[in-house]
Amino acid sequence: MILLTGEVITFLVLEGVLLILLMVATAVAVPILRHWDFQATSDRQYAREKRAYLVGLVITFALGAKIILLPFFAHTLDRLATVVPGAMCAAGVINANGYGFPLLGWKLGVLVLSGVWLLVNRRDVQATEFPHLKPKLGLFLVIAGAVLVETVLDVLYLTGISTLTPVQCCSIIYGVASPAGGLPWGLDTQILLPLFYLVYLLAMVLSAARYLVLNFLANLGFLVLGYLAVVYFFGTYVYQLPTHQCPFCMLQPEYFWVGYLLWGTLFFGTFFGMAGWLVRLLTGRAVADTGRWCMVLLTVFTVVCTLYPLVYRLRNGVWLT
Amino acid sequence: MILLQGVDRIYNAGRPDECAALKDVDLTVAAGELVALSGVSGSGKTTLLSLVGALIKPTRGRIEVAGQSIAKLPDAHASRFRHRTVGFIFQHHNLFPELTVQDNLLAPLVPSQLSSRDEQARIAQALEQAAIAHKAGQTVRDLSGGERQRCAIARALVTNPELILCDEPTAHLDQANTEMFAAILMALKEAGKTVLMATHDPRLEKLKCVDRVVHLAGGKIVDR
Repeated sequence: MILLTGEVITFLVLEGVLLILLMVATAVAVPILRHWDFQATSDRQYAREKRAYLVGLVITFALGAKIILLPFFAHTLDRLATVVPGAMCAAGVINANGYGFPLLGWKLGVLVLSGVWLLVNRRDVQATEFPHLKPKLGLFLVIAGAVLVETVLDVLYLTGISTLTPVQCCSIIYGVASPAGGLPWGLDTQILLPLFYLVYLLAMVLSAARYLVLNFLANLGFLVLGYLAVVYFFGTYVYQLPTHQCPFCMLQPEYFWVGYLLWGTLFFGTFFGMAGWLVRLLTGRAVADTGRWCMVLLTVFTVVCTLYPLVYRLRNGVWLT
Repeated sequence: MILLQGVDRIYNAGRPDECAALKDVDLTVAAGELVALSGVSGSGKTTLLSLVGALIKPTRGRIEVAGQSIAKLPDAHASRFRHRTVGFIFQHHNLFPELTVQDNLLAPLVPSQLSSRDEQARIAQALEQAAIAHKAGQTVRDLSGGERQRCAIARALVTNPELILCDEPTAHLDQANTEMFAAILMALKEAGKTVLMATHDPRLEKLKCVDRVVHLAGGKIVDR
């Protein structure tokens, strides 16, 4: 049974513990949100302020742990490929039932919200008047609901993986003959690569200049372009195989786990690029250092991506075609 | 240095055991001043010190210390404020009995993230100021009452605070130790520290270094 795999047990136990923490935090946060009045000087308000600080710490821990759990989830899927027939990597496992891809998307959404919450919380605890407490706790309630749904999806997905029914491997799912085998919107790599570098430069300039809305849009664009560029161009150099376009195989040790670095820097880099505007929406002010983090992470991502074809060309004297 | 305007502190407000510890208190203490708060037990001296030290919050009123409004300061900020600005000498010392004198002094320095050399220099200076350097390696549990008091003074001084708050500092001291404490007070005054001291010890009120005695009764200032 798939649930008896060590990684799955660890993952579900951790998710369960974090869900409990977040539900307890919800139970504490709701009355704080309902009765909050910073101007009041009653013992009850002072007690609320203490609880608000404590609940903020608990949420910070739980959401921070959930962010760390996402790569562990990817690792778990990768390990399950050894027990799910037909699967060669996490791609086959995630496609093992209808919950896999929606769950992955949901997790990424929760991650974005959690990241925004952590930034808003940081700003709130740095101030002396809890200025962002209400939007912070309001956002937390949305996240708590999303985490509840996520945990249900976790259980439905992991209990729905059969160790008897064969699944498609990544060569089928992401092969050149599959529906995902070609670039969307009529793009080809001749257009994709200049666009990729152009939007990267645009994101750098906008991050430095702190144009928040434009930077949000540029990073959203770069998230999509970065994904496509890795899957349809740079990834083929990672695998040294022009027909292999799997976004998951690069998480394996054969490829030095470079997928964690590429997807991690792309996702967190674009998150920081977008977070400036999202945080300003909630708090009225941007966060000072998100642009810097965006620039560092996306530069690491772009440099690592670029090195793969260059090193291949230097070693072999030809490009992959 | 210290400004209190219209400060009330009511414990258990709205409950049958409601208790107004301070009522409409106005008080100003200039930088470098040494002020004694006198009054019987329950007159509000300790509550006033706790408010000035941001250990508790007022039910009403404005409190400023060292230019910072602290009446509604969140706990995490209040901790930083205390660490930066205030040294406490508690009535019951509040030391770690299992630790040595030196380690008791090290504890408040930890958040400062000083180098080990700077920490040792600060500790040595505070031990010297409180005349307890000869007991640096001894555990607090093995000290006499007067030595514990001096250890508590050294701990209050080790962060080099602008403001020293003392709550009944001589309550458990004999004549010799009280005189030693008076000498330390004099030195603090000369060093430009602001000192607010709650006491009902008439020996302290009469010290030459005491600039003012503020009398509290029933939670109100009755005489300055």
